[in-house]
Amino acid sequence: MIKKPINVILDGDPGHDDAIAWVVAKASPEFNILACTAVNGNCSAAKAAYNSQRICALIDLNVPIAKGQDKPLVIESLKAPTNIHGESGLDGPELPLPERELEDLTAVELMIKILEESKEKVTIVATGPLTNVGALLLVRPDLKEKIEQISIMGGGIKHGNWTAAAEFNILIDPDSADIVFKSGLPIFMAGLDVTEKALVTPKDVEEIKQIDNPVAEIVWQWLEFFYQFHLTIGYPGAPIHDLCAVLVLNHPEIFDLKEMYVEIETAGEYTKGATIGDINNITANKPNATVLMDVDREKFVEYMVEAIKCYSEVN
Amino acid sequence: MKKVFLSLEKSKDNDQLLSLIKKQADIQIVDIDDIKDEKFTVIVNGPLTQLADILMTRYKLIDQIEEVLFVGGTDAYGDVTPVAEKNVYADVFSAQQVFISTVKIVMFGLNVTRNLKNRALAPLVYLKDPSIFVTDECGIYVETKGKVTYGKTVTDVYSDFQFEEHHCEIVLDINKERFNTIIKSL
Repeated sequence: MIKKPINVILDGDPGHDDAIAWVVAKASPEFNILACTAVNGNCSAAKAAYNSQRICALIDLNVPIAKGQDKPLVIESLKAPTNIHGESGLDGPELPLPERELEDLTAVELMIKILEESKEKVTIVATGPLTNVGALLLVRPDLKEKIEQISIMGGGIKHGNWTAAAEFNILIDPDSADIVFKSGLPIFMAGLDVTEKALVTPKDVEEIKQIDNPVAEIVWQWLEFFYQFHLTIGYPGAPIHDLCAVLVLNHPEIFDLKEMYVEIETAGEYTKGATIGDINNITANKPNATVLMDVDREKFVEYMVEAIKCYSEVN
Repeated sequence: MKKVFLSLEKSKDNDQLLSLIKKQADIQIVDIDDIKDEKFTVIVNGPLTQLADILMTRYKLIDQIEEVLFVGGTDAYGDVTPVAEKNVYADVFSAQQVFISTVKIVMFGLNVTRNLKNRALAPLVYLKDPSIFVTDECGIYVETKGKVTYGKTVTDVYSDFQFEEHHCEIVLDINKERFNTIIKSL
């Protein structure tokens, strides 16, 4: 029997790893993608929206796309880094031009519309800062009943990357993250604990190079672009952070999952934007998140490669 | 002869440490008031209040401190809160005064002391043979402004982000077998 597809809104700031996450989601029969929403993060919301349009053109994903607001909810945005994803937010190979215009709605309006119209519950896959999702929950808390779960790439229970304690996506907009983690909705959190282990090595990239289809042709170049930076800071490959937030939905068995109470530090001198996980259950707080702590790296790469191969069959 | 200044909270574990140190021919316990120009080591197992007070009032001694061997803090997970350890949490402000000073600190945190029978003995074993401890140079600061992270010892040992100063050594592993052998020989 075929299981019911997982309805998803893809909310992100593409971004090489967001893009790869979307490529895999589109190719996986378990997902029914309803919309893409762009958020300010790795690059500006405008660049993220434009990149979203071009990714959708590449993978033939014909769904509404909308741009989120330019800033976090209550603070100024950090300057987007250009050494990781490049000036465009998605540097590397030339992508096809957009085939579908941006919606005349903002990201939050589009999310509201999709949730209102959907008869079934919808999962939000959020792979950038949580500004759009936080805003949605503030504006329309009643729509929580339409949200199945939120699968996030963000944070880190043991450590950060942008500061010692905080990961970039959460650091950009800790207040939105706080709203999301306190929402009571089921949350999958793919933080640095798992995503820094979700590595695609230069050897894996060689395998993808052998796949003969236009998507594979782009993906290996993204990966090459993306691991250049990571090799310089000592990684043996590129961590495909955002793909964890997708694969945990259709292949949870490849992850080491731990339920715990996670709280966001919204103040702090050294720890603003840290995701504090009560891994040893010191507080009596009920778990509010399922945290990904480890991954079977080989399976992770296998599912990624498998998905990329699907684009050969279409033509 | 190693001179050590002890800042120990009253406890059974610390009583055992004290009696063992007194037996060591190569270690001399010193009173802070008797120190002239000589170098000395500080061992703390308890809140960092007393050491912070010394740093504020007798800061000329700072350069004479070879290192502070501190039992407390944690690399990531705490015991009083999800991220804060008892000795730091007891006086967060003083702890940060010590960590933000230029003094070299070796931190025997919960991450390695959780499984020790008596964590107070770790600094003494370290003085006898530092080679059984796996350490890494890093920056460590104490969060005094956080809502959920109050008292967290924030280290860059696992993060891509690196502090400018690596003034601390964090203990990441201990050779338990050799640790126990040394304790038996004391």
